[in-house]
Amino acid sequence: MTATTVGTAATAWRACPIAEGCGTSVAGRLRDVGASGRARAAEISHPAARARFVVGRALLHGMVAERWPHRHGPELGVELDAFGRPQPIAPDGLEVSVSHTHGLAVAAVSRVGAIGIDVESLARTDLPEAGAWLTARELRRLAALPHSERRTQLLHLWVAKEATLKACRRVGTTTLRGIEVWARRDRDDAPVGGDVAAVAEMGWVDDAPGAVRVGRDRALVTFDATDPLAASAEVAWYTVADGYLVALATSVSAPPR
Amino acid sequence: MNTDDLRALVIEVLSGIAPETDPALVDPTVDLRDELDLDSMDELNLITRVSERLGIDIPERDYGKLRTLDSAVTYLANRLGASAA
Ligand SMILES: CC(C)(COP(=O)(O)OP(=O)(O)OC[C@H]1O[C@@H](n2cnc3c(N)ncnc32)[C@H](O)[C@@H]1OP(=O)(O)O)[C@@H](O)C(=O)NCCC(=O)NCCS
Repeated sequence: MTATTVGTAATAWRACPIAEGCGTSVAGRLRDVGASGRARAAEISHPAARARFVVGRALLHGMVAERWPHRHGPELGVELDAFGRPQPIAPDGLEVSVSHTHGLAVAAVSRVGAIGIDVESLARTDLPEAGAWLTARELRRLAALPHSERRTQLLHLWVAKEATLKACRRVGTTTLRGIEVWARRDRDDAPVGGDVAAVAEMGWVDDAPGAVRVGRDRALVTFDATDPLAASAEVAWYTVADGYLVALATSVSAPPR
Repeated sequence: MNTDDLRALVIEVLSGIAPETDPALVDPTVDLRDELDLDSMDELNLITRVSERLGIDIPERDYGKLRTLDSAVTYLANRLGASAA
Protein backbone atom coordinates (compact mmCIF):
# COMPACT_ATOMS: atom_id res chain seq x y z
CA MET A 1 0.00 0.00 0.00
CA THR A 2 1.27 3.46 -0.83
CA ALA A 3 0.17 6.65 0.89
CA THR A 4 -3.57 7.09 0.84
CA THR A 5 -5.11 10.55 1.00
CA VAL A 6 -8.66 11.25 2.09
CA GLY A 7 -10.33 14.63 2.05
CA THR A 8 -10.63 17.95 0.33
CA ALA A 9 -8.27 20.84 -0.25
CA ALA A 10 -9.48 22.33 3.04
CA THR A 11 -9.29 19.25 5.25
CA ALA A 12 -7.41 16.07 4.45
CA TRP A 13 -5.67 13.21 6.09
CA ARG A 14 -3.21 10.68 4.78
CA ALA A 15 -2.06 7.24 5.88
CA CYS A 16 1.35 5.70 5.32
CA PRO A 17 2.56 2.20 6.23
CA ILE A 18 5.60 2.50 8.48
CA ALA A 19 7.56 -0.44 7.12
CA GLU A 20 7.49 0.98 3.60
CA GLY A 21 8.01 4.58 4.71
CA CYS A 22 5.79 5.56 1.77
CA GLY A 23 8.28 4.47 -0.84
CA THR A 24 11.41 5.56 1.02
CA SER A 25 13.24 3.78 3.81
CA VAL A 26 12.77 5.10 7.32
CA ALA A 27 16.42 6.22 7.30
CA GLY A 28 15.77 8.06 4.03
CA ARG A 29 12.73 9.71 5.55
CA LEU A 30 14.98 11.38 8.14
CA ARG A 31 15.82 13.91 5.43
CA ASP A 32 12.19 14.99 5.42
CA VAL A 33 11.64 15.76 9.09
CA GLY A 34 13.69 18.93 9.54
CA ALA A 35 16.36 19.64 12.11
CA SER A 36 14.04 19.51 15.12
CA GLY A 37 12.57 16.22 13.87
CA ARG A 38 16.03 14.69 13.51
CA ALA A 39 16.94 15.88 17.02
CA ARG A 40 13.76 14.32 18.40
CA ALA A 41 14.38 11.07 16.49
CA ALA A 42 17.84 10.84 18.04
CA GLU A 43 16.27 10.87 21.51
CA ILE A 44 14.04 7.87 20.79
CA SER A 45 16.06 4.77 21.55
CA HIS A 46 13.49 2.14 20.59
CA PRO A 47 13.83 1.49 16.83
CA ALA A 48 10.12 0.89 16.22
CA ALA A 49 9.14 4.01 18.16
CA ARG A 50 11.71 6.01 16.21
CA ALA A 51 10.44 4.67 12.89
CA ARG A 52 6.85 5.57 13.77
CA PHE A 53 7.87 9.08 14.75
CA VAL A 54 9.97 9.63 11.61
CA VAL A 55 7.33 8.35 9.18
CA GLY A 56 4.57 10.33 10.91
CA ARG A 57 6.55 13.57 10.96
CA ALA A 58 7.69 13.14 7.34
CA LEU A 59 4.11 12.52 6.28
CA LEU A 60 3.02 15.69 8.04
CA HIS A 61 5.87 17.73 6.55
CA GLY A 62 4.92 16.47 3.10
CA MET A 63 1.29 17.51 3.50
CA VAL A 64 2.27 20.94 4.77
CA ALA A 65 4.73 21.41 1.89
CA GLU A 66 2.07 20.52 -0.68
CA ARG A 67 -0.12 23.31 0.63
CA TRP A 68 2.66 25.88 0.35
CA PRO A 69 4.50 25.08 -2.87
CA HIS A 70 6.05 28.55 -2.90
CA ARG A 71 7.77 28.07 0.42
CA HIS A 72 11.12 26.43 1.04
CA GLY A 73 13.38 25.06 3.73
CA PRO A 74 12.82 25.84 7.38
CA GLU A 75 9.57 27.72 6.69
CA LEU A 76 7.94 24.39 5.86
CA GLY A 77 8.76 22.65 9.09
CA VAL A 78 6.55 21.53 11.93
CA GLU A 79 7.42 22.21 15.55
CA LEU A 80 5.86 21.22 18.85
CA ASP A 81 4.33 23.79 21.17
CA ALA A 82 4.82 23.72 24.95
CA PHE A 83 2.12 21.02 25.24
CA GLY A 84 3.64 18.74 22.61
CA ARG A 85 1.11 19.76 19.99
CA PRO A 86 2.50 19.90 16.45
CA GLN A 87 2.07 23.10 14.47
CA PRO A 88 3.58 24.50 11.28
CA ILE A 89 6.48 26.86 11.93
CA ALA A 90 4.63 29.49 9.88
CA PRO A 91 1.03 28.42 10.65
CA ASP A 92 -0.81 30.82 8.34
CA GLY A 93 -4.15 29.34 9.42
CA LEU A 94 -3.12 25.73 8.86
CA GLU A 95 -3.85 23.23 11.64
CA VAL A 96 -2.15 19.85 11.73
CA SER A 97 -2.27 16.60 13.67
CA VAL A 98 -0.42 13.29 13.59
CA SER A 99 -0.80 9.79 15.04
CA HIS A 100 1.03 6.50 14.65
CA THR A 101 0.61 2.95 15.76
CA HIS A 102 2.43 -0.30 15.02
CA GLY A 103 2.44 -0.44 11.23
CA LEU A 104 0.71 2.79 10.23
CA ALA A 105 1.21 6.55 10.53
CA VAL A 106 -1.52 9.08 9.75
CA ALA A 107 -1.37 12.85 9.47
CA ALA A 108 -4.08 15.46 8.95
CA VAL A 109 -4.15 19.11 7.90
CA SER A 110 -6.96 21.63 7.94
CA ARG A 111 -7.40 25.15 6.65
CA VAL A 112 -10.79 25.49 8.29
CA GLY A 113 -10.10 25.08 11.99
CA ALA A 114 -8.74 22.71 14.58
CA ILE A 115 -8.16 19.09 13.68
CA GLY A 116 -7.20 15.96 15.58
CA ILE A 117 -6.39 12.50 14.27
CA ASP A 118 -5.82 9.16 15.98
CA VAL A 119 -5.15 5.65 14.67
CA GLU A 120 -5.17 2.22 16.25
CA SER A 121 -4.83 -1.28 14.92
CA LEU A 122 -8.18 -3.07 14.80
CA ALA A 123 -6.36 -6.18 16.00
CA ARG A 124 -5.54 -4.56 19.31
CA THR A 125 -6.87 -6.50 22.28
CA ASP A 126 -5.05 -4.87 25.19
CA LEU A 127 -7.52 -2.07 25.80
CA PRO A 128 -7.32 -0.63 29.31
CA GLU A 129 -10.05 -1.53 31.76
CA ALA A 130 -13.10 0.39 30.53
CA GLY A 131 -13.94 1.92 33.93
CA ALA A 132 -10.67 3.87 33.80
CA TRP A 133 -11.56 5.88 30.70
CA LEU A 134 -15.28 5.66 29.87
CA THR A 135 -18.05 7.76 31.39
CA ALA A 136 -20.90 6.07 33.26
CA ARG A 137 -23.21 6.49 30.26
CA GLU A 138 -20.64 5.06 27.88
CA LEU A 139 -20.20 2.07 30.19
CA ARG A 140 -23.95 1.50 30.21
CA ARG A 141 -24.17 1.66 26.42
CA LEU A 142 -21.24 -0.71 26.13
CA ALA A 143 -22.85 -3.19 28.49
CA ALA A 144 -25.96 -3.21 26.31
CA LEU A 145 -23.95 -4.40 23.29
CA PRO A 146 -23.39 -8.07 22.46
CA HIS A 147 -20.01 -9.26 23.75
CA SER A 148 -18.78 -9.82 20.21
CA GLU A 149 -19.14 -6.09 19.40
CA ARG A 150 -17.62 -4.61 22.53
CA ARG A 151 -13.91 -4.64 21.67
CA THR A 152 -14.49 -2.92 18.33
CA GLN A 153 -16.77 -0.40 19.99
CA LEU A 154 -14.10 0.29 22.61
CA LEU A 155 -11.55 0.93 19.86
CA HIS A 156 -13.95 3.40 18.24
CA LEU A 157 -14.37 5.22 21.55
CA TRP A 158 -10.63 5.26 22.22
CA VAL A 159 -9.60 6.80 18.90
CA ALA A 160 -12.53 9.25 19.00
CA LYS A 161 -11.52 10.49 22.44
CA GLU A 162 -7.84 10.82 21.61
CA ALA A 163 -8.56 12.63 18.34
CA THR A 164 -10.94 14.98 20.17
CA LEU A 165 -8.39 15.77 22.88
CA LYS A 166 -5.89 16.70 20.19
CA ALA A 167 -8.38 18.80 18.20
CA CYS A 168 -9.76 20.62 21.26
CA ARG A 169 -6.28 21.34 22.66
CA ARG A 170 -7.18 19.45 25.80
CA VAL A 171 -4.34 16.91 25.97
CA GLY A 172 -3.17 16.94 29.56
CA THR A 173 -6.03 19.12 30.81
CA THR A 174 -9.15 17.06 30.08
CA THR A 175 -9.10 13.35 30.85
CA LEU A 176 -10.52 10.61 28.66
CA ARG A 177 -13.42 10.37 31.10
CA GLY A 178 -14.01 14.10 30.68
CA ILE A 179 -15.10 13.50 27.10
CA GLU A 180 -18.29 11.77 26.17
CA VAL A 181 -18.91 10.17 22.81
CA TRP A 182 -22.44 10.11 21.46
CA ALA A 183 -23.83 8.34 18.49
CA ARG A 184 -25.60 10.99 16.46
CA ARG A 185 -28.74 8.89 16.54
CA ASP A 186 -28.64 8.78 20.36
CA ARG A 187 -29.06 12.45 20.84
CA ASP A 188 -30.84 14.77 18.45
CA ASP A 189 -30.09 17.88 20.48
CA ALA A 190 -26.37 17.21 20.68
CA PRO A 191 -24.53 20.52 20.57
CA VAL A 192 -22.86 20.19 17.21
CA GLY A 193 -21.25 23.10 15.46
CA GLY A 194 -21.65 21.76 11.96
CA ASP A 195 -23.03 19.01 9.80
CA VAL A 196 -21.73 15.64 10.91
CA ALA A 197 -22.84 13.91 7.75
CA ALA A 198 -20.89 16.40 5.68
CA VAL A 199 -17.73 15.55 7.58
CA ALA A 200 -18.24 11.85 7.10
CA GLU A 201 -18.97 12.22 3.43
CA MET A 202 -15.96 14.28 2.54
CA GLY A 203 -13.71 11.31 1.97
CA TRP A 204 -12.50 9.84 -1.24
CA VAL A 205 -9.49 7.78 -2.04
CA ASP A 206 -7.09 9.17 -4.57
CA ASP A 207 -4.59 6.44 -5.23
CA ALA A 208 -5.72 3.28 -3.51
CA PRO A 209 -9.33 2.59 -4.34
CA GLY A 210 -11.02 0.54 -1.68
CA ALA A 211 -8.24 1.01 0.86
CA VAL A 212 -10.25 3.47 2.90
CA ARG A 213 -13.90 3.10 3.72
CA VAL A 214 -15.81 6.04 5.07
CA GLY A 215 -17.74 5.07 8.18
CA ARG A 216 -20.59 7.36 7.39
CA ASP A 217 -23.18 5.72 9.59
CA ARG A 218 -20.75 5.81 12.46
CA ALA A 219 -20.11 9.52 12.49
CA LEU A 220 -20.47 10.64 16.09
CA VAL A 221 -20.50 13.78 18.14
CA THR A 222 -18.30 14.21 21.16
CA PHE A 223 -18.48 16.75 23.91
CA ASP A 224 -17.46 17.27 27.45
CA ALA A 225 -20.52 16.47 29.52
CA THR A 226 -19.18 17.67 32.85
CA ASP A 227 -17.53 20.91 31.89
CA PRO A 228 -19.45 24.18 31.85
CA LEU A 229 -16.98 25.47 29.26
CA ALA A 230 -17.68 22.39 27.22
CA ALA A 231 -15.96 21.97 23.92
CA SER A 232 -17.44 19.77 21.27
CA ALA A 233 -16.13 18.24 18.09
CA GLU A 234 -17.38 16.07 15.30
CA VAL A 235 -15.74 12.73 14.78
CA ALA A 236 -15.72 10.58 11.66
CA TRP A 237 -14.23 7.12 11.60
CA TYR A 238 -12.47 5.40 8.74
CA THR A 239 -10.98 1.97 8.37
CA VAL A 240 -7.74 1.67 6.45
CA ALA A 241 -6.90 -1.53 4.58
CA ASP A 242 -9.26 -3.39 6.92
CA GLY A 243 -6.60 -3.35 9.63
CA TYR A 244 -6.65 0.09 11.17
CA LEU A 245 -9.23 2.42 12.61
CA VAL A 246 -8.78 6.17 12.18
CA ALA A 247 -10.79 8.89 13.93
CA LEU A 248 -10.77 12.43 12.61
CA ALA A 249 -12.09 15.18 14.90
CA THR A 250 -13.04 18.48 13.32
CA SER A 251 -15.52 21.34 13.77
CA VAL A 252 -14.49 22.16 17.29
CA SER A 253 -17.26 24.35 18.64
CA ALA A 254 -15.71 26.01 21.67
CA PRO A 255 -12.48 27.92 22.07
CA PRO A 256 -9.64 25.93 23.63
CA ARG A 257 -8.62 26.61 27.20
CA MET B 1 7.12 -2.09 50.50
CA ASN B 2 10.36 -0.16 49.87
CA THR B 3 11.50 1.60 46.69
CA ASP B 4 13.29 -1.53 45.41
CA ASP B 5 10.05 -3.48 45.73
CA LEU B 6 8.17 -0.72 43.92
CA ARG B 7 10.76 -0.65 41.12
CA ALA B 8 10.50 -4.44 40.77
CA LEU B 9 6.72 -4.20 40.65
CA VAL B 10 6.71 -1.50 37.94
CA ILE B 11 9.23 -3.52 35.89
CA GLU B 12 7.10 -6.64 36.26
CA VAL B 13 3.99 -4.79 35.05
CA LEU B 14 5.97 -3.26 32.16
CA SER B 15 7.18 -6.73 31.15
CA GLY B 16 3.55 -7.70 30.59
CA ILE B 17 2.88 -4.57 28.54
CA ALA B 18 6.05 -4.61 26.43
CA PRO B 19 6.94 -8.33 26.41
CA GLU B 20 9.41 -8.07 23.54
CA THR B 21 11.74 -5.77 25.50
CA ASP B 22 13.50 -6.02 28.83
CA PRO B 23 12.25 -3.21 31.06
CA ALA B 24 14.97 -4.05 33.60
CA LEU B 25 17.51 -2.67 31.11
CA VAL B 26 15.84 0.70 30.53
CA ASP B 27 17.46 3.95 31.50
CA PRO B 28 15.31 4.83 34.52
CA THR B 29 15.52 8.55 33.78
CA VAL B 30 14.25 8.37 30.19
CA ASP B 31 10.64 8.57 29.01
CA LEU B 32 9.27 5.01 28.90
CA ARG B 33 7.59 5.78 25.57
CA ASP B 34 10.95 6.28 23.92
CA GLU B 35 12.65 3.34 25.60
CA LEU B 36 9.93 0.71 25.35
CA ASP B 37 7.76 1.94 22.46
CA LEU B 38 4.78 2.58 24.72
CA ASP B 39 1.78 4.57 23.52
CA SER B 40 -1.04 6.14 25.50
CA MET B 41 -2.99 2.88 25.69
CA ASP B 42 0.06 1.14 27.14
CA GLU B 43 0.50 4.00 29.60
CA LEU B 44 -3.05 3.72 30.84
CA ASN B 45 -2.60 -0.05 31.17
CA LEU B 46 0.54 0.55 33.23
CA ILE B 47 -1.29 2.97 35.51
CA THR B 48 -4.40 0.85 36.03
CA ARG B 49 -2.39 -2.33 36.64
CA VAL B 50 0.02 -0.70 39.10
CA SER B 51 -2.84 0.97 40.96
CA GLU B 52 -4.67 -2.36 41.15
CA ARG B 53 -1.60 -4.20 42.44
CA LEU B 54 -0.92 -1.58 45.09
CA GLY B 55 -4.56 -0.97 45.99
CA ILE B 56 -4.26 2.78 45.45
CA ASP B 57 -6.20 5.15 43.26
CA ILE B 58 -3.97 7.13 40.87
CA PRO B 59 -5.85 10.29 39.90
CA GLU B 60 -5.74 11.30 36.25
CA ARG B 61 -3.94 14.56 37.07
CA ASP B 62 -0.98 12.47 38.31
CA TYR B 63 -0.57 10.34 35.18
CA GLY B 64 2.28 12.51 33.94
CA LYS B 65 4.29 11.61 37.04
CA LEU B 66 4.72 8.01 35.85
CA ARG B 67 6.51 8.77 32.60
CA THR B 68 9.95 7.42 33.58
CA LEU B 69 10.82 4.47 35.78
CA ASP B 70 12.46 6.72 38.40
CA SER B 71 9.60 9.20 38.48
CA ALA B 72 7.06 6.38 38.75
CA VAL B 73 8.90 4.84 41.70
CA THR B 74 9.25 8.24 43.41
CA TYR B 75 5.58 9.00 42.92
CA LEU B 76 4.42 5.60 44.19
CA ALA B 77 6.79 5.76 47.17
CA ASN B 78 5.38 9.15 48.13
CA ARG B 79 1.84 7.89 47.79
CA LEU B 80 2.57 4.84 49.93
CA GLY B 81 4.94 6.55 52.35
CA ALA B 82 7.51 3.89 51.40
CA SER B 83 11.04 3.88 52.79
CA ALA B 84 14.13 4.02 50.56
CA ALA B 85 15.74 0.63 49.97
C1 LIG C 1 -0.74 12.98 23.43
C2 LIG C 1 -1.55 11.72 23.26
C3 LIG C 1 -2.96 12.08 22.80
C4 LIG C 1 -0.85 10.86 22.19
O1 LIG C 1 -1.54 9.65 21.97
P1 LIG C 1 -0.79 8.30 21.56
O2 LIG C 1 -1.83 7.29 21.26
O3 LIG C 1 0.21 7.91 22.58
O4 LIG C 1 0.06 8.63 20.30
P2 LIG C 1 -0.40 9.05 18.83
O5 LIG C 1 0.53 8.39 17.92
O6 LIG C 1 -1.84 8.89 18.60
O7 LIG C 1 -0.11 10.61 18.82
C5 LIG C 1 1.19 11.06 18.97
C6 LIG C 1 1.23 12.49 18.51
O8 LIG C 1 0.37 13.28 19.30
C7 LIG C 1 0.82 14.60 19.14
N1 LIG C 1 0.62 15.31 20.37
C8 LIG C 1 1.34 15.24 21.51
N2 LIG C 1 0.85 16.13 22.41
C9 LIG C 1 -0.17 16.74 21.80
C10 LIG C 1 -1.05 17.77 22.20
N3 LIG C 1 -0.93 18.38 23.39
N4 LIG C 1 -2.02 18.18 21.34
C11 LIG C 1 -2.13 17.64 20.11
N5 LIG C 1 -1.30 16.65 19.66
C12 LIG C 1 -0.34 16.23 20.52
C13 LIG C 1 2.30 14.56 18.77
O9 LIG C 1 2.43 15.15 17.51
C14 LIG C 1 2.59 13.09 18.69
O10 LIG C 1 3.32 12.71 17.58
P3 LIG C 1 4.93 12.86 17.53
O11 LIG C 1 5.45 12.46 18.85
O12 LIG C 1 5.30 11.95 16.43
O13 LIG C 1 5.17 14.31 17.21
C15 LIG C 1 -1.64 10.89 24.55
O14 LIG C 1 -0.36 10.51 24.95
C16 LIG C 1 -2.26 11.59 25.74
O15 LIG C 1 -1.64 12.33 26.46
N6 LIG C 1 -3.53 11.35 26.00
C17 LIG C 1 -4.18 11.95 27.14
C18 LIG C 1 -5.26 11.08 27.60
C19 LIG C 1 -4.86 10.04 28.60
O16 LIG C 1 -5.28 10.11 29.72
N7 LIG C 1 -4.11 9.03 28.19
C20 LIG C 1 -3.84 7.88 29.02
C21 LIG C 1 -2.67 7.87 29.92
S1 LIG C 1 -1.34 8.93 29.58
